[in-house]
Amino acid sequence: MNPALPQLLNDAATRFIRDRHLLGAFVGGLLRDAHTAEDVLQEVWLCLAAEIEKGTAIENQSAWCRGVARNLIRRHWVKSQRARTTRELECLEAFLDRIDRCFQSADADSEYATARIAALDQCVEALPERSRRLLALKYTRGEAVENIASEVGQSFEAVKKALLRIRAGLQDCVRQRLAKEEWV
Amino acid sequence: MNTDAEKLADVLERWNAGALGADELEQITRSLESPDARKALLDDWLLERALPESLSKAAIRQSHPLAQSLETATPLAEAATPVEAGNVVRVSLWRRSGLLRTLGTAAAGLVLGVFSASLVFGKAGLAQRKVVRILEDGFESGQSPESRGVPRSPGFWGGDYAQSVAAEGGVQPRTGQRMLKICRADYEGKPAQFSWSGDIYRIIDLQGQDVGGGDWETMVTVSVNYRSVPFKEPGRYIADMQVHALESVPGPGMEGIPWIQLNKPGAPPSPHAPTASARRSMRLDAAVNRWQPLRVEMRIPPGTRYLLLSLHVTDSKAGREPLETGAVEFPGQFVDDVQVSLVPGAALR
Repeated sequence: MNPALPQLLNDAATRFIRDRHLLGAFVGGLLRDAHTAEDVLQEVWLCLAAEIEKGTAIENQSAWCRGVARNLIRRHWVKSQRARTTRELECLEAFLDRIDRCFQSADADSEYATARIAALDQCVEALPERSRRLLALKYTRGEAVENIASEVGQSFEAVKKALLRIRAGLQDCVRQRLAKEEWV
Repeated sequence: MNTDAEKLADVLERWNAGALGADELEQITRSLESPDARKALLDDWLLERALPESLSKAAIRQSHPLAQSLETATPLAEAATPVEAGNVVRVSLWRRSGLLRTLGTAAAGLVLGVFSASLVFGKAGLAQRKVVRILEDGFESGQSPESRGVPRSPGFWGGDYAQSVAAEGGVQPRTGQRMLKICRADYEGKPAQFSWSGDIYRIIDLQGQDVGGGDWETMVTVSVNYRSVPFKEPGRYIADMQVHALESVPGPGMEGIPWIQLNKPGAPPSPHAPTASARRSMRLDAAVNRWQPLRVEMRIPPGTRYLLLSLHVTDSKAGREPLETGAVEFPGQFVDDVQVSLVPGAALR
């Protein structure tokens, strides 16, 4: 065994943990299914660790992991017959390219995700209890909007609008906090 | 979420549900041409990913003010302390750096799971710690479960009346060409009583699998997908999944013995009583036509030889207004893509 292997794996794991929010956002955003996304993330780590054990030098780990995730997602979609025709496959490639570009902008900034999440934590804490409850029903319990509406005794439209408003408010709050920190 | 991001989420949900064509995908690709649109998408998906944990942290801080001192002041890269190879650690709340730091010093691997403890990060001897999938069934063989109650031996599905079917009632299989339809809440020869839960079971033999013992423990993760045709009363149909660890099963020739029922409170003890059980349930969407995943994890106690997987769909309205005898017939409730994996690990305690 390469004597440097434990350290190389340790470094890769550290970077993987640091980048997990962005990779998770990439995979979860595309798949819209928490469990399938977790499976893909697991597979990405296994691929990464296997490459490192083989001695492969990986220059840009974030981009490399995204590439592997992209292949796994493509395979999942083809297997589940989401992309059947050549045209669908071509459109899918173009779409995945574009999504990858969205995430490339964060590759150079190792604090991109952690800074935003720290700000988000503060913004969530400042929300009224009712807003947090709505968000928890949607994003922690994964309830459909109609079920939330029935649970909180409001109409489907009212809940949908409230969720959109709260999310938009959180994005604004995060932006403001980041801007404030830059100023300081 | 801004309107564009909302549209994108909707498009992707439909794409993943198989209800979207190339044209719309092309359209959404074009909408991401500008750097501003791409930045908005990045930030929105990041927020969506981080929200469950931010909510959880806020809840912890509010209910336990002292928890603030455990929170995320330490960057994770710093918290992931360098470690020696050969050990394994499991971190389920891995973003809480206090916890991570404590466990990290004894670690050479990480189990990461935002939604579940489903991920093993072995940094050395990786192949030995890889997740082993012991069942993957999309009901593609076309074979329907035996409708004779809970099976007594491993290797096949059994329970109430259910059928392997192709697309039906506007519902496409989640994967492949077939899925399982839960038909009725009874089975052939079921004792006369009113039943409102359609139950399907499968025994899995773990012989030959490394399920730990001594210092070792192994987790089993089960994921199942449910879907319903649209129905009027939200909350009426409930999907439920259980996994039980067993040291023995009755075996063939023991048909007619309701051995699972023996574990109910007040019933005589069963020699086949589960040594551990885990359960999860959810309401099926009444109007949104989509597959809904259920996932459960459980540590397998030493000495476990079998797992009993049980999948259920319950008509809660019928349960509230039971008839004297008979059984519910289900209009279109389906199960697909069942996956059971073993996650070997050490020091999971």
